[in-house]
Amino acid sequence: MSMDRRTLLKQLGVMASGAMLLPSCDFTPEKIPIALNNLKVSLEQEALLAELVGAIIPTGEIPGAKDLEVQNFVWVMADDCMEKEDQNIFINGLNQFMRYVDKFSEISLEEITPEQQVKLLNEIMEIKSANKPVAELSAEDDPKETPPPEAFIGDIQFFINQAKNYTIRGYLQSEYVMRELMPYSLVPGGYNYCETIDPNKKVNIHG
Amino acid sequence: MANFNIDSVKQRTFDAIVIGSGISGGWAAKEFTEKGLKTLVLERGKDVKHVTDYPTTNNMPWEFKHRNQIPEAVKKENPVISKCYAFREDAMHFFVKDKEHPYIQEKPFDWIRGYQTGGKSLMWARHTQRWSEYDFEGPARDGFAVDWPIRYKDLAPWYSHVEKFAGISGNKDGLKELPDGEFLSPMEMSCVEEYFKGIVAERYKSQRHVIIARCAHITGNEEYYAQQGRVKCQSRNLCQRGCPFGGYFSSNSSTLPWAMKTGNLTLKNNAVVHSVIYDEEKQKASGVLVIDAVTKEQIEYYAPVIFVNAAAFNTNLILLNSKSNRFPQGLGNDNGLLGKYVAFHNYRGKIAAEYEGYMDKTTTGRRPTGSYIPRFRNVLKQETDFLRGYASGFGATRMKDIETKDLFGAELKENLLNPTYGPWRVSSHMMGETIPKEASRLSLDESNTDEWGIPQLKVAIDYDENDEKMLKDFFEQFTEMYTEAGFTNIKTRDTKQAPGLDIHEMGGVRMGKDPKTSLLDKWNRLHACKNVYVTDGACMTSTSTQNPSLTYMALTARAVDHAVKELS
Repeated sequence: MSMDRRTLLKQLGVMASGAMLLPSCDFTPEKIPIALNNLKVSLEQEALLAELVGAIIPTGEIPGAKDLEVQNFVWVMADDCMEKEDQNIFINGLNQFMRYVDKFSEISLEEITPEQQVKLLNEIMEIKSANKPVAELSAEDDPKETPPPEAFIGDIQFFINQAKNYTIRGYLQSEYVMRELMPYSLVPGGYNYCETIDPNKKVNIHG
Repeated sequence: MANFNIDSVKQRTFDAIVIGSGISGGWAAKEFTEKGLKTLVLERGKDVKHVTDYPTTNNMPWEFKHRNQIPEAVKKENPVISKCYAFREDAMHFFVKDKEHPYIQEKPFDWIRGYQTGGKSLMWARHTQRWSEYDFEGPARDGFAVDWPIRYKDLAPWYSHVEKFAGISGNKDGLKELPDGEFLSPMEMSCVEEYFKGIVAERYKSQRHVIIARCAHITGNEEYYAQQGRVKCQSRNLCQRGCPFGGYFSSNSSTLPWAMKTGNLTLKNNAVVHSVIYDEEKQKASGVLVIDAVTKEQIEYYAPVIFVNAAAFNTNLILLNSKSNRFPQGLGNDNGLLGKYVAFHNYRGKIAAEYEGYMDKTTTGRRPTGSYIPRFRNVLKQETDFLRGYASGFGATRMKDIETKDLFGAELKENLLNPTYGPWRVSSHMMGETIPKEASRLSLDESNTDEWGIPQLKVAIDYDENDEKMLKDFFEQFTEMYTEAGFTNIKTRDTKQAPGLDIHEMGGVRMGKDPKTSLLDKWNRLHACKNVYVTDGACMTSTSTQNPSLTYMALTARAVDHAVKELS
């Protein structure tokens, strides 16, 4: 996964100053970050989460999570359904994840393969570490000396796990999956109390 | 001006007033209006019209922003209602929010309320098991509370009356402890539920029974229900949103539209009842003092008979707040017992397990009910070290698994798109009878009033040693039954939930034979003020184990019949 920050920034057309690089003849609407109730997110954070969501359930013949814009659901859930404390860890985890990839990943956005994305995520999740919650860290540490991203592995893992859980939920309960792959019948709900399983028939969790 | 006043009084005078439009108030409205009485139903909340006011009823799962989860901010603001299993994104608009209607928990009590036309009948769980002879005899046999002034035979025809109209699905099981009723075809038990039924019958020599629950869903006799504009249950199992088919019974889908069709019903929303007015001269109630929920204006309504169906605890509140020279402690409260002897159902016990039989079978779809195990403890005689017993739910569903642990990417996607069958998951929950005690009481806090100047309710109710022993027995007996059936990975759980979350609070205005020890007579009239009837949960002398709504409906229809005979 390219978490090469500079490449990502370039891709988004964002300069170091944060100004948008828009050719004067480009009439596409200006990009603005997702509007949420509590969290304020940047385009950069949004782009990163979208990449992660796409890495968790990749695209293919059947659309992946990013194709179905599940990242928006992940943001909504993180914004509305997470406790404040978890929200802080989630956001810090996201930011540190960005720094972590910047520091340790040699691969840029254009080059990374889905396999490499998975490898990177597995590597991170396998690191044994228990960092302190971000709130405590910021209270006792010198803000000028920001600890390196690897000091926040716990937060990063929390972020990835939460994002994964919401991605799975948003994907399985997306309109596409619930219409095309595992249909949900609003009416009638039906009930079969003892159906003989046909091993050739796909199991429908919404059936 | 004088004429205007007379006209105004005339306009505010009815043949009957019903306080509350929930499951029992709706029945009172139907019975009164069908018998030709001009009836006023006072509902404190907003109107909810059948179908048109069910905003989420046809939403697909992905149309809920949080996929039916309650946002953290809502939970924080509403710690009590957020504990309710049905308070989800799809039906949260039908529940009272904590902040809007505060009450005082002298002991922890989760008060679940629905302030709108139809009350909680919109979101109820729809189980409708009759009481048996053993239930009505309970207090007399076991020496607690007071003797019920009625027996099963008094209520049986009224159970039939309400069952037929409401539409009750069920199987004729022929059990003395859970009498059969007027049933439409039963819903089906899953194959593992059937299997468990067989094991339990064999092992306990037909002393314990696993049956399909009786529930208020239309499963037949469709022409008859078409008259109410209701059709067959579609097994959507989305009932708490309100059902566009009228597949389950609610005041909104059934009794209230029926009453409206007679032309005799006036439904007034935003009508917060302050008190019942007592006429010292005539020595009976003359009407009701109402405060408009929005304008706060006070209005009096008059009728020769008044039914209080405000939901168990609010009925207590209204009567306690109905003070007069004759009744300084609340209407009908000569003995000081009003608000006392409240009780509930103990829902703390849960048990779950797995079963690896019937692996070639599965359940599909969404059955809107479950199986049921009627009370088997102390039914014929006292046999344990605790009084009374418990009924239980029972359900067995084939699990569908998706392995996601430690997986990302293509492998995860492959698993998500190809779920597999897991074992069967079986579970039960306990519905225990609790003993009404004088110490379990409701009272008013005169110094803390609500937005309408009405004193807040103080609730003091708790579990006791009998409940703890019964909980232990539930765990033991079900672990034994599950083990007999070969269920594995058995896990018991004490939810430690406070009383209230069962949403089966009862009593405080109990029925009884003696005016010295009870508030209501055998017709549900206040002993001391005979034109005021209470037929919701407040009237209950004991709680038994059955889901109580069906009994409230039957008591209501019976009481209206009596009230109308008294008037004529």
